[in-house]
Amino acid sequence: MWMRWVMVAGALLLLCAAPTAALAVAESMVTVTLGSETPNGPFADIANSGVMAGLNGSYRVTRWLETGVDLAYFNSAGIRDGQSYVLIEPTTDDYVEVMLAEKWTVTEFGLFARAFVFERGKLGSFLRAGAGTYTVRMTQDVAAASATTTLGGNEQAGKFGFSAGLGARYRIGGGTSLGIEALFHHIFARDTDVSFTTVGATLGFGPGGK
Amino acid sequence: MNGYRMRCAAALMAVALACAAAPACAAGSADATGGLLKRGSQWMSARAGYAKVAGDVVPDGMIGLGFGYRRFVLDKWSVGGFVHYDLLGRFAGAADIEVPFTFEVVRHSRWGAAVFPYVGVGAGAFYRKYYRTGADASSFTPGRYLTFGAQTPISTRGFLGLDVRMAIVDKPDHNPSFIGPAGDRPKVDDLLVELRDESIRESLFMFGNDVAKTQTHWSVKIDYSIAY
Repeated sequence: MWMRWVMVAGALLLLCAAPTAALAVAESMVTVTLGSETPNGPFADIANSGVMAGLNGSYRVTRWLETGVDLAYFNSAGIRDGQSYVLIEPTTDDYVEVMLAEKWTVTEFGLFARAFVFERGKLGSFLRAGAGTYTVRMTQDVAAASATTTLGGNEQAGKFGFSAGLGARYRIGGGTSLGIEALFHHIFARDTDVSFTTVGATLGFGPGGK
Repeated sequence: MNGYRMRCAAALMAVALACAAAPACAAGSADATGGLLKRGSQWMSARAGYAKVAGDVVPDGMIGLGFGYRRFVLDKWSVGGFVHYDLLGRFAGAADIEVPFTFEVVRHSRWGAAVFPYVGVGAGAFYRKYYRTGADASSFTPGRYLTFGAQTPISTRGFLGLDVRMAIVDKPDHNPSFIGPAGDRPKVDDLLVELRDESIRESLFMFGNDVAKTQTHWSVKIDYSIAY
């Protein structure tokens, strides 16, 4: 156990001893994020874990602050996905056995800011917060059915929400960087709230800073 | 005949003067206006034009007005806020009105001295109102849009241009005057709550519910902007 703590302490010591980051003001960057999504709270009762993909463009306004525009997509299976049901088809009044394909998707478009803290050398850790519009969509479809059915459809609604989290990125050369980012998203709905956590790997491209 | 020659001569002189003056004007204009895309530049804009809902069974488009402010946070990159008032259409006396309060990020460019095209994205709160329908309704919904257009300098600090906006917003429920998805269906807000209840969950299915829940709104407006 103590070996682990020695290693952690050593890593922190190296981080502190490393030279502070070269000024990267006026740096613009496009970042691609791929990762996982985990529903929280009431949303966890109706959706399973899923995947996410994101794309954002950002600009380093000052040495410690970066702002940008974010577009992200979150996809998770519904709680009933893959389950079989015997239903009455309303157009024929016949019984039909179906295997349900159900999913929740959320698309987000908003603004965000990253505040860099403890940036050392090529490694920068940051806190991130943002706000924007979210489109929450539930889709039902038939994976398999014993007879023809009209089961299926979608419902969606636009909502406002915010996100907050933290991450780190490591500059691998020029304006290219690799990193990790964890975010908590909260969407305001009418009688409940939708919240989920994402963890993703990031790949950033850019011309580099001044 | 003499009058004809005089008119031709006057026309030729006018053309020659215009040709001689154009490069100088263009150069001066380019120098002056080029700086207006620099960081720190601020623009106030007023717009008027056409607005409509895309779709098969929708009213003809009507008029739209708007104003806004943008600030160049980087060279050729601006952020701005706009408020529009769009009369999206009328059926008899019933009116479909939208007032978007939006924020946008725009990339500006410059083609020669006379054309300043731009493209950007935005989002905001869209106030929507059905008026004089017999079942009036209003709501705020989030919306996103793509904006693009071009401007041309008409004075040292003035631009005249055309702004096109394509917005995606939620479609309101069915109304006596305007079609839409059935209002009594389980909506996302209902599903988020009711699917958590196992007794309700077993009976909550959608059949043939493939009506679009969003609309595309277009607006094409003449834009006058003054930079300072």
